[in-house]
Amino acid sequence: MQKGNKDDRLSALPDDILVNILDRLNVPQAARTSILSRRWSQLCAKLSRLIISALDFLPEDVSHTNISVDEVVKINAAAAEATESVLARRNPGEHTIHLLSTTFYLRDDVPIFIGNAVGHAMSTHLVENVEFSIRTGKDHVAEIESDDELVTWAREFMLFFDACPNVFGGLTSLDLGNLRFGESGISSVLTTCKRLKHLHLYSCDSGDGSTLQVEHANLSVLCIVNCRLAQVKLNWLPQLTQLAFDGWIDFQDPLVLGHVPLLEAVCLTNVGLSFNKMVKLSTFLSSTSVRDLKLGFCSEMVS
Amino acid sequence: MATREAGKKMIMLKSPDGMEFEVEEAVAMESQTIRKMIEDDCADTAILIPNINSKILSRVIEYCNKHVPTTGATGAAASDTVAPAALAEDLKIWDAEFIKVNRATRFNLIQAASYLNIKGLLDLTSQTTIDTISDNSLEEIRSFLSTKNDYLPEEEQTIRRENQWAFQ
Repeated sequence: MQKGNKDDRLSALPDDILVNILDRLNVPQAARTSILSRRWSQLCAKLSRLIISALDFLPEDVSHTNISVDEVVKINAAAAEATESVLARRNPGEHTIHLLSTTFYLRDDVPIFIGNAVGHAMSTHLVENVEFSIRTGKDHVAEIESDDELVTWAREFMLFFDACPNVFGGLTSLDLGNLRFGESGISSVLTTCKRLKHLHLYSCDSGDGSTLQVEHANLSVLCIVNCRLAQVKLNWLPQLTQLAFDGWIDFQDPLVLGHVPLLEAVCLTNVGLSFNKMVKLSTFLSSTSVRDLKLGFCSEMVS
Repeated sequence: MATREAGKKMIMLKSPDGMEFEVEEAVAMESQTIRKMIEDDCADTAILIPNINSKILSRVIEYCNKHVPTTGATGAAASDTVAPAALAEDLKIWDAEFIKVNRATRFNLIQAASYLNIKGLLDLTSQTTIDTISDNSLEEIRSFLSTKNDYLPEEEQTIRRENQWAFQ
């Protein structure tokens, strides 16, 4: 440590330490360092965690909860360019990508553009985990003006989904919000996304008061938040370990557990009023080996 | 030179500038590299730690002493009666003081943490660099890292164009 270039101590560190440091930055921050020197530009091509979010391109003075339509178009385009740029600079097969995560909006052709870039990366590089977080620009269900809007977003999503079946086939994590699917929409997503381990649904359904039936060989974490579902049936989820179910409407037996042998952590949250039907926890949890049960009820009756 | 003192197994660490440090085995094993040497029975005599001078090595040992999970090593603070949250808070304050060092020392500590494979120390020592890169302009980063620009003017133009999106 005494030897070496005294003027350039950090750069004297081996590549793997510097990549480890760059891996903790967001992608724009890491990419900026490639202007420093040739060495740093090579380091940027070796990152193992590529987490690209349109929100990283939001000007600092703009709040995350109040993004204008023009701003969404701008940051979405930047996310698409970033995804293509950071993937294009890598040498095929040389360094494993442990996580390739992209967050973007259903706008224009950006989803398909990102889908193609990610698909190309999956076929030319070693990519262990692929994550899509797909946004509509309406973060909260209260911002949605009408149910038609949910239907329109779901149609946009399905266009993207149908255009990139191979990418969805390799996804390990999917985060969706504010989509009202057609009757077979969700089940066809589940069928195609066969490697999926994490699924997060926020305000997604197949119609008001519809039933969500889930069967999946690999899914291990499932979050269902503020979805206007009458019932969730976990028919066959042999790998499911964690379930979060937050906010359901007032029908009987909101959750039916089928084959979920590994389920060990369940988090149930709801605001229940006295006119709601009774939720009998004992009925639907009796056949499982849940170790960790969290309940959050603002309710007059739980038994 | 493994000896016993008050029932605790001791390990001798040697820096290349000839200093010797006697530390408890549990403390030395905070380093995954040394742990492996001990487990492979390569630690009967003093372990020479290459490339890490005595000044840096003593700081590393100080860190390991504080962070070793068992009781006693650091004196009064470590005790079964102290709540884990309070201990964690104490460690955070201690870490913040520990890392108030000049740049050269910090880079040396990063290298030592990496060679000795001490994850907590690597996280701690890298954080300032991460903060600096995330919060500053390119020229400030360049001066912090003392990195020389070795691009030809036209190369720099190209690389800037390719990364234009990162500066928006």
